[in-house]
Amino acid sequence: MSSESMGLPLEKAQEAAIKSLSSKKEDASETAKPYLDQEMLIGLIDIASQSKFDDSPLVMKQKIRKLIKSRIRKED
Amino acid sequence: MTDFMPYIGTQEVDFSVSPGAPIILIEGENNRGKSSLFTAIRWCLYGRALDRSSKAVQDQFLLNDNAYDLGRDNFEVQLSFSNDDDNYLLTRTCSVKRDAKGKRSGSTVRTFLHRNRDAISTEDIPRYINEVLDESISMFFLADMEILKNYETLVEDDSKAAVEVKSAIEDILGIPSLISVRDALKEIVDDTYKEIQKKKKENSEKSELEQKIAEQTSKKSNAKSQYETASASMAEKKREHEELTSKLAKIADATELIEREKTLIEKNENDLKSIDKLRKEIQVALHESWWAPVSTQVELKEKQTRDQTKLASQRHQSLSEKKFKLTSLENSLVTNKCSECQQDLPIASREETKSAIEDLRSEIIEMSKPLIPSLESLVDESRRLSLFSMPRKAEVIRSLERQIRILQNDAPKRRQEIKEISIALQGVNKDEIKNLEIQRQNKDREIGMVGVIIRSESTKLANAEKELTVLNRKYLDAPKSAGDMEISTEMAIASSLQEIMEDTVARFRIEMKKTVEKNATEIFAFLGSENVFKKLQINENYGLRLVDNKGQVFDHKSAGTAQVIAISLILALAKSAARSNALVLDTPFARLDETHRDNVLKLLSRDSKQSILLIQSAEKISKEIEPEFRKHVSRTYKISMGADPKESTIALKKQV
Repeated sequence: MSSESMGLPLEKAQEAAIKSLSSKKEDASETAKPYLDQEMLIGLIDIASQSKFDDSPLVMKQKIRKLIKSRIRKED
Repeated sequence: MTDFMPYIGTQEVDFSVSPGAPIILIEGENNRGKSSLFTAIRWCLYGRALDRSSKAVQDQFLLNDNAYDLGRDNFEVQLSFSNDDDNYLLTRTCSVKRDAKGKRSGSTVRTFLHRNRDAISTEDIPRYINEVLDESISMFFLADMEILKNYETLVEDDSKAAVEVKSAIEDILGIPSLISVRDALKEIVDDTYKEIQKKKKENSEKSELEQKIAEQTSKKSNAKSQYETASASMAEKKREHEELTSKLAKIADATELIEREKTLIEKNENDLKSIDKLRKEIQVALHESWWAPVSTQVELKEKQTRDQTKLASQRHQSLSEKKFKLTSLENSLVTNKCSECQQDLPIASREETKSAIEDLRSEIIEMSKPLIPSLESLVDESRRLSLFSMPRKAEVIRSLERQIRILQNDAPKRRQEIKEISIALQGVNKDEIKNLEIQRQNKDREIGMVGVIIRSESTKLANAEKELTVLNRKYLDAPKSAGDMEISTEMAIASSLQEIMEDTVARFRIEMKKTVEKNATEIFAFLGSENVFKKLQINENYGLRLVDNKGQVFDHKSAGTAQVIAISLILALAKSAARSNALVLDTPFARLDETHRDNVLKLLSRDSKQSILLIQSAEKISKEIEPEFRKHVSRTYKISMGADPKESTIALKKQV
């Protein structure tokens, strides 16, 4: 038994996320808007696709927070 | 596997496939052990075995009957596989218990898992196995077609089984991964909100700290100012004190003389006072001693008594001598010899001796007369007079007079010294010296008072500094406010992303359903030969229904069609899956005609990564496709009957 890849069908998940971004960004808070872009969404999908069963919910939260913080600092 | 169901002894099957040949074909007659092999894989993975009616089989009945009869109580299945570049070795063993009658009465199962040769703890094994292939989705990869044949009806309700199947399909498609991101974002929003609240509280505490630091700094500043002022004042006063001391030192001799003069004058005055006092005391004593003359008489009488006593003593001595001399002379007259030289006395001497004797007798008579006044009378009179005398008062008066004399003796000397000092101090301003001394004493007092102020302010200063140190440390330890804005931004971003991910999950679910529907339709079309069906349509529950060319849902009754739909779903899921797993298909062709069977084999040869097909020996592969199909088969095994009908063996089939 073997598996060749982990996670979701990446492209479809990214497509869905980018479509959601387009439809929801206008409703987002002004503070958040500058950071809501494809880069951020692709980063989130990557985290989802790379999640392993060894990862606790805490690990996933840490990864996402790290992603968000790095974007904030990058923008600043 | 060892002694598992019909397989007696140890049997080994290699499932590995070569590139371009993803098929492992296992052939066997009905009831020979195909499903038992399928069960062995499932039991090894999940510890559960199902019979043909999907009911659980107790572990002790999985032991081969003949092995049991031969006295063997253990059976085992070992599975070696890889996942995500990790190599696993899973071993499940079962020890069967026998009752007194020799019947199977229970079992003990033990499981061992090694990942890359590291032993996994027993309690973690299910977690690791489910990560490789979750039991809930295993039905689509370890596919018993008997179970899946009614797949469409299975998903069409809200039963626990239906919910599990739908959940398993979503799992295969990877939807939970997106959901977990969405949930994580929600938790991040909650966490950041809590952090912001905490920060607000900390900032409030920080403001209080800042206020306290300001207060302490002000206190410190005041104390320092007061301390410095007092210190300056102290320095000034000490300087003035030193000046006064210096001035006084310069006139130290005069000061000393003044002090001496003062002392002498005071002494004189005191002596005069003392003399006056003593004189008054003498007056009193004299008044009390009005019989003083009697006392004098007593003293006279005592003197007379002492004189008379002395005289009497002398007379007594002299009388004794005279009496001795008389006796000697009288003896000389009797013996006519000199009392001194013992020579015969001449006549002249006898006469002289007689005369001397007479004289001595006269003298003795005279000396023997009583003394006048007699000692007795003197003693009596003295005693009588003493009754009227007060010799103690006289002594007191004499003592007082002695004291007066002593005091008076010192006075001339002092007067002389005072006179000399007065001469020495001529021209010296005594008032000035006195003023300087007073000023210095005042300065001493002032220095003392300023010293108290300095000590007080110094204590205040030290306390303020100590308090400031503590407050500053707390302030430095307090979280920095620089991150406040970042957390607020993080919360805003997480909140927006959560909404976006909510929408993404819904979109992704729709997209994946469409993908499954499309893939299933393509597979169904590939497998079938009919043109009456337009497509397979997926509904909200992941149910697949046939839609005919007119767009109407077609309610088929054929078991074969149901099986083709199930195979279409399995292969569509495998194609759309987030992860690629091996397929184990047990009797997939049972209800399929030759055309469908060939098409399934073609499809698996073309699209699958690794497929283990357990098929009946009677299900012949058509000659048309067999040569091409065999190219895609890595290995073919044949299950045969062993030495006994209850025994099966599995062995590589020789290629023809």
